[in-house]
Formats: sequence, C-alpha cells, structure tokens
Amino acid sequence: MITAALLLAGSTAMARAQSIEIQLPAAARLTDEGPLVSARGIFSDRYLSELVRNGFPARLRFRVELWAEARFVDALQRAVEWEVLVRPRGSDDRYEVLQIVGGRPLSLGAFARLEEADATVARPVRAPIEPGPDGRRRYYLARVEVAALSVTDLDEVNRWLRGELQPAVRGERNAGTALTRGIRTVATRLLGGERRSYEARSAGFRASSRTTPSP
Amino acid sequence: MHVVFRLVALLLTCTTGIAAQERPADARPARGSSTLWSAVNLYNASATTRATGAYRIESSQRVAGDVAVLVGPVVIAGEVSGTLVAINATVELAASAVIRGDLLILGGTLTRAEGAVVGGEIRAQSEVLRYEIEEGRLVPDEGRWSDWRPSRMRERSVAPAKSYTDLLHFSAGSYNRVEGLPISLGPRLRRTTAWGRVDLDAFGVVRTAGPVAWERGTLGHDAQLAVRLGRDAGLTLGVQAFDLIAPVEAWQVSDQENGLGTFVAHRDLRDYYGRHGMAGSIGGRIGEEVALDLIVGSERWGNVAARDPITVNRAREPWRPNPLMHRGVVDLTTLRLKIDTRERVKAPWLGGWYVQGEIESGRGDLTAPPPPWPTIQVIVPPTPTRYQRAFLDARRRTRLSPGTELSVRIVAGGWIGGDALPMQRRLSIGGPGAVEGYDFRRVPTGEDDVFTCGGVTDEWYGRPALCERMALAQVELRQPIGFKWKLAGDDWRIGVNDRPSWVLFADAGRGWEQGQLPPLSSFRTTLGAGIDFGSFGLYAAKAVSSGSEPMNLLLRVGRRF
Repeated sequence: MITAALLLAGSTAMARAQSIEIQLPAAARLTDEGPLVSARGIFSDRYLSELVRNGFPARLRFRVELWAEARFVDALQRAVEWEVLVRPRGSDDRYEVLQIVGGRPLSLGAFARLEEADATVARPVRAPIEPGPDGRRRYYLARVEVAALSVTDLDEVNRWLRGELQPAVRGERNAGTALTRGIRTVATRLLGGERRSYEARSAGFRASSRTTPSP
Repeated sequence: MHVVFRLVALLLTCTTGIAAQERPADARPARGSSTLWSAVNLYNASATTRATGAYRIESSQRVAGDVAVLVGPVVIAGEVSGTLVAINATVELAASAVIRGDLLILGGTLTRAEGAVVGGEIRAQSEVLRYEIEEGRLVPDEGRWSDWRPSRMRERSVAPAKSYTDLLHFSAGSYNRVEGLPISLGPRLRRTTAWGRVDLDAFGVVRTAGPVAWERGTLGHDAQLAVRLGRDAGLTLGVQAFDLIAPVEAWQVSDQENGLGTFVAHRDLRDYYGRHGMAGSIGGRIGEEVALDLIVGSERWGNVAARDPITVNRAREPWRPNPLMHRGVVDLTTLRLKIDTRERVKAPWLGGWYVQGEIESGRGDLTAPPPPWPTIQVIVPPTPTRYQRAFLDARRRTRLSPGTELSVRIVAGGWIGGDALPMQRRLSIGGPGAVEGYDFRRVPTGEDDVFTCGGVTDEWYGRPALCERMALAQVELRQPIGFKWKLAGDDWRIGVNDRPSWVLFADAGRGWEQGQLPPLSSFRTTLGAGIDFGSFGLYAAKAVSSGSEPMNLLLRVGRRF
C-alpha cells in the first residue's frame, strides 16, 4: 500500500506538466487538413533534462493515428510518424532541435537554454492524415514516445550525423556520475531502453463534404 | 509533385497576391494558405534580405527593405523599413522596435514589448513549416503522407542506411552458460551507393566464461560480406565465414530474456552447439517487409560444454549440463522467408503479420551422441545422414481499438523427410514462451512426455529436446490500465515508465516423434493472466490439462511474443 501510495504520489504535478495535445482543424476543413499536434513541457522532466544537459540526445517519436469507430472493433485507418531529436552540441554549448520526417532532418534551431529548445519542441505540427469525406465517425490518437538515447544509439546518431549534419553529438560528461550512468546504461539496454510516452485522443468527428464535429 | 510545387513557388514569386488562388488543381490546399504563401513569396523575392539562424537588429540599426529569417530566433530593437518574415522562428520585439511593413511568422511565436511598432498587419501561424532550399529558393514541403508514414527502417534505428567505417566495433551477444558474454570486436564498414549498399564485418569473438584460454572455447570469429542491390527492393548476396556457438532452439524466449535469466537467475533455457564453416546466400527483398533468402553452406558441428560464467544468484550451484549433440561435417541448404507487415495500416488484412519460415535440407556424416544406456563408454561411428526439416513461426497482432490488441501465434516445425533429425534440430515445448503453465524440461508425474519426447529422463545428459515435431498455438488479449506508474518525484525508473497493460492468454501445444498430428485432446493447455509494465511483465499461468500441476509465476522481459 505504501508503495502504491508512493507510486501515485508526486505524479500529479508532472502529469500536468508534460502532455501531448491534438487540435482539430476547423469543421469546414476536416477533410482537407490533419490535426495540429504538439507536445508540451517534455523537458520539464528532471531526469530527462539532466540526461540532455549531460550530453545525451533525446528523441521524441510522434505517431498520429486516424481511427474510425465501429460497433465492435474500431478500425485503424492511417498513421503518420515523425521524430524530433534534441541534441546537445558540445562545440558551442547549444541544444539543436531537429525534426525528422521520412529520414530527412529539418533544423528548427540551436538554443543556448534547454527551455528554449523545449519551447521549440512544443511548436505544433500539422500531421498530414486527413479522413475521407464519407461521414463516418472518427477520432485521432496521438502518442509521443520520449527516449533518452543510450550509448549504442549515440553511436548510430553519430554515424548518421556524420554526413550533412556536423558537428556530431559530443557532450561533456560528468565524471562523478559516470559509474552510475554506466550501470544504468547497461540495465537500460538489457531492459529495453529508458522511455516514457504520452498519449491523447481527440474528440470524435464526422468528416463529409459539409463537416460537423460531433460530441 | 515537387516539380508542381517548384512551379507554384515560381509563379507566386512573379504574381504575389493572386497566385494563392491560382494554384494548380492537383496541388494540396496550402496550409494556413495566405500567410504561408505570402511568407514564401517574400522569402524568395530577389530584393529580400535573407538570414538563417539567430538574427538581431540593434536599436541603432535600420534595415532597408524586407527581411526574411529562417530558424531564428529573431530579436528586433531597431527598424525594418519593409516586412519581416520569420519562418520556424520566435520573434521578440523590443520597445524600440519599428517594422514599417507587415510581420509574418510561421512556426513560431511573437513576444512584443509595449511601444514596439508594427506598421502593417501581424499574421502568425504556429505550426512548423517543413521546407527545402533548392537553388536558393524556399520550397514548402507538400506534406505527402508517403513521407510521413511509419517505416520499419526508422523503427529499428535512428539511422537510415548511411555509409560508415568503424575500425574497432564492439558488440555483445546474449549471455549464456556456454560462452558467458560473447563479445564481437573488429572492423566493420558500410558503403551506401546509388545502386544499393555493401556491408563488410570482420569480427573476432571472445567468450568470457571461465576458464578463459587461447583456444576455441574462448575464441571464435564471424566475418560477413553482404551486397544489397537496389534500395527498397532488390537482390541480396552474401558470404560468411564463422566459428560460433549457436542455440538449438531460440524461438521460445528472446536473446535478451535468456541472457538476463542466465546472468541474474542462473537459469539458461537453451542448449548450444558449435558451428564452424562457411556459407553463401542469395536472396530478394521487398522493402523492409519481405525477405526471401537461399543459403548454402558447409559447417562442422561439435559439442560445447557448459562452462562457469558469472551469475548474480546461485553462483555455487552447477549449471544444467549442455546436452551432447551430433558431431561431424554437414552441408546445409536453407530457404528462409521473413514477412513483417506490423507497421502496415492501409491494408488491415495484410498488415499486422510477423512470419518467419524456414525449410532446411542437411546431408553429411554425423556421429550421434552416445545413447543414455548402457552407461559404459560406447564408440559410435559416423553415419551418413540426410534430413529435411521445416519451421514456421507466424504471429498476428490485431488492434481492436487504441491500446487493445488481440495477438495470435502459431509455431510449428520438425521433420519432413529423410533420416531422423540430428540433436541440433530437435524440438521441445514447456516453460517460458511455450505452454507456460508447465515447467521447463519437466514432465508432471504420471503423464506422457509430450514436452521433450523422452529427454527429461535422468539417463539423458542435460535433458535435451528430442521431439521430431511440435506445434504450439498462443492467443493473447491486452489492454492498457488507466493510470501511469511513477515513483515519487519525476525521475524515470527503468522498467516502469510505460503505461502498464493487463494481459489474458492461453497456450496449447505438444511435441511428438515422427508421424501424424496427434489428437488435439493430447495437447497441453495453459490459461494465464498478468500485467505487462512495458519493459517487463508479471504473469500467472495455470496448466488446465493437468489439474495437479501448481500455478507458475513468471517474470518476462519485453512482450511475451
């Protein structure tokens, strides 16, 4: 019981701080535009922000799904994905934010403070996942999986960035916590990675030639 | 479509104001239309002052004409005589800032001090603009779904197939009682070309299980050359030279799970044998979803003994002996199929599959392990052996609603022709990953051994798998539980960061020697339930076809299948 209380205690504040939000287009444009999706306050998480400040990149993998409601089993109709990578640049002490779609990176800027990078991560993205105008009741599901990249991933990131996106990830490490980090890294690799996810579901809507949101 | 958009951008440049209404009919409606196209036009106009990155105008400065900034941030304390465009940038206007024209912001926000002057209109669109710079011109991305759709390639790694050279690459295999931690080290390189890619690995293998010595128990090698013709679809060619230790059956639990079980719980659920030889392969693939390979090789099989790797628990207890295997040189021809459409969304019936199938033909002179009786030493001569074997592991995940999944798995395999299978190709069920209500390599008292087909008797060294055939069906239903696990504070905790799900499952299976499929009533069945915390799960499984068998509690790492 004490454990359960501990598990649930202290979560309320952070639960409010980090979230993913879906904003539906105007009713008249439901068939023309996908939803706006934004992840807010991701780096207000102390552990994640410490990792990034210590030189580990963070990866946010966004996935937005379009579901059609049915009587028994809802149908997944479409999905889109993109990634946002926040990588500390040791060369100029800045945090670069990259948005990656289909393997193509787009720099959203390099910032002196992690809070500025966090605000950039929170900029809304229009997910190109529009429903057909058939009048079915649908909803969007958005999920962002936040992962602090581990040593192996760093290696991958380095190779990947070696081409067009120099300088590669090089962060200053705190020697005092190196052992702890090493043990945690090993455990992390064994258990499948440090990651956290946030999810949101939009209100239901019907998209047709004259669209109307439905409650 | 890129051509269309380039054309559109060009037209817009020439005919500002009307182009937004005169885009070609097949182009997507512009996002945030007028603001977006006004900003793009202005950026591409020849007279505009362009900048990328941090941009600042001091209070004493005055910039004539229009200004367009990519990425930013933009800080204005002085004067802009024309319009200011900020793309994917925040804009901060100091009290002394003066912008005579409009202020257009795409993918950013505005902070405006009292006193800042904007002579024209302020238009802001918060969503990020994806674009490319082509020959100095800004071209907005079309936002095609095909660019954004989920990709297995991206699922596996941050890195797409880029070229690299690592002169000394380290990697480790699964921890086990024969090798300890097998560490591979050596050079590797990848070259990505217009026609495909080339991968070359030349690894030495060092095994950490004691006693460590300069001999084949400690050292091995694994060298591969693979050529892939075609980017998304095409041919693959490969050659491999190896001296490795391989598991007999690897389908029940994952490498990660078995490694952890060995290291932490002193419990290795696999048997092993030595492979030393060469192989060549030719195959074809369609994207990352379908791969078909024909592998031809010759290798020497040998016995390997359990050694003494480090474990966290029960370190002084002996390991389960590694069973004796067939020895000798065998020529293998293998046809291997892999289908993975789990990321496919548009075709619900074709999507959600994960299938691994294999047909293998082997021939060689093999020496069988000595029979368990009599106990005196028996010299068994090599025997010409030819066999054919098939194996199928097919899984299907169906998402019933967000988070709710119904998963089904069929595993079947075994002898399909020729002589009896060598020990390296025998099968078993029971234990984690396969009819979990029953223990690993143990038969309930008084029951037929449908789990190992006779291997669990004390006479057999190491309780080997002896079945020539097996079949297993697993069904699982899962749904997220409506709360998040968080320990006090906001620290992440390994294993409990994901949203937990409850899981209900049922397994049914058995092994048998050559012959037809036994009656379904002879299959052993299990019902179970548990909670999957994301990185690991806790489950209770009860054998329902054997009433006296006690309930098993299991800790599984990752998903059950």
